[in-house]
Amino acid sequence: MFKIILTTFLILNFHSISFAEDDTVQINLTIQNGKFEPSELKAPANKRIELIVENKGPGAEEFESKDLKREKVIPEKRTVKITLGNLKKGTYKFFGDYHSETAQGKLVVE
Amino acid sequence: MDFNFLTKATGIVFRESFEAVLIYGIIVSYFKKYSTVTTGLKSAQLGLILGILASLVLGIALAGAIPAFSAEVFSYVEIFIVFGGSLMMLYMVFWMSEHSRHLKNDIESGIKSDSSNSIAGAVFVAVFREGVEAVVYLYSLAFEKPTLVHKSSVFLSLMIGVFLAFVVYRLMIQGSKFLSMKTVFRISGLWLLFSSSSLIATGLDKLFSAGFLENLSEPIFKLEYSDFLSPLISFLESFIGFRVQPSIIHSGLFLIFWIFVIYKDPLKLRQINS
Repeated sequence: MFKIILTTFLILNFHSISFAEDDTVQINLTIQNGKFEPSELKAPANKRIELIVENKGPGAEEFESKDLKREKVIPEKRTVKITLGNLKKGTYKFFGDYHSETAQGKLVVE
Repeated sequence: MDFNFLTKATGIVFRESFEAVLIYGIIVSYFKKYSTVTTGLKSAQLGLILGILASLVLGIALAGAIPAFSAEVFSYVEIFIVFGGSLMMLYMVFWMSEHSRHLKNDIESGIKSDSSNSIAGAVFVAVFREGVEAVVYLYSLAFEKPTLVHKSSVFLSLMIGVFLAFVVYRLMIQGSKFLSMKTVFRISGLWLLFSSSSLIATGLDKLFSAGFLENLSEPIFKLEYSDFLSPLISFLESFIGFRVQPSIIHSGLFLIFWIFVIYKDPLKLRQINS
């Protein structure tokens, strides 16, 4: 049993190490007072992109993007990782579904 | 009381409950039309109640009541529920198809337990998916300001939103009375097939979003289309789970699903003129 746990742990660990090298780009995005900060993100094309979204509140927010096909509820004072994978060049809009008048942003991949 | 706030919160509650109401409404109108036996209706009600309860419990847990229940843990729950829901909706259409043929011979035929599970399950998933979002939204909204006025307006927006959803439900049930059995069967079946298909695409997106199957998540092509088609395209994307930039796994599953459905023809659309 112990062996299985250890092996699983090692595999998972290697998995994250292999991705954590320069193939992955992490981008940070903050939600505060119903707005995204920054409202325009930049990322390189053909790299694995991870979006780290922190919701400073007040209130919950739903990160939503029809272009990226992502939809994720982010409770107040929580940080969530959203894997976007490799993206082609272009502009991808996103918005906060619970504050859609003010929470608008875009990701420019170039 | 802030009127703007109330309209906005009510709007979100209504929007979240709308999709769930449509699924529940078509399932109930099907059973009202087809069967004197109430087992199907009871299963649908069970799914509704369980869906509301699960939304409340998991929504409040997710909104911060239980720190261990993180957004990451929730995404696993969600993936499981979305794919399960897709299967149950598909199963239900085939069961309805079988049942409507059977009904001519034996009107008192009971509903087998496996099918009532899928009825309850299909309703559960429809309610839970939207419900949990509404709960997280309202729960954190209620704690935004400590005043009683604020808390009561959050509660009021919940009540009005639910009431509006109920009105839609009543309209659907009343409206279905003017339609023939066959039409109700075909509308319900088609709606469930579309929902099932779109849940496959949603489930895959949620898997990719959580970092699974990354090797299979890259788009294999990008469909170019002119701008005036974009409302239609985005409708197809959300309604049946079509994708403009499909991954290999999405194209595979989407094709298998629709070839299977067209070949089996559970809604008997090929007999439409007979």
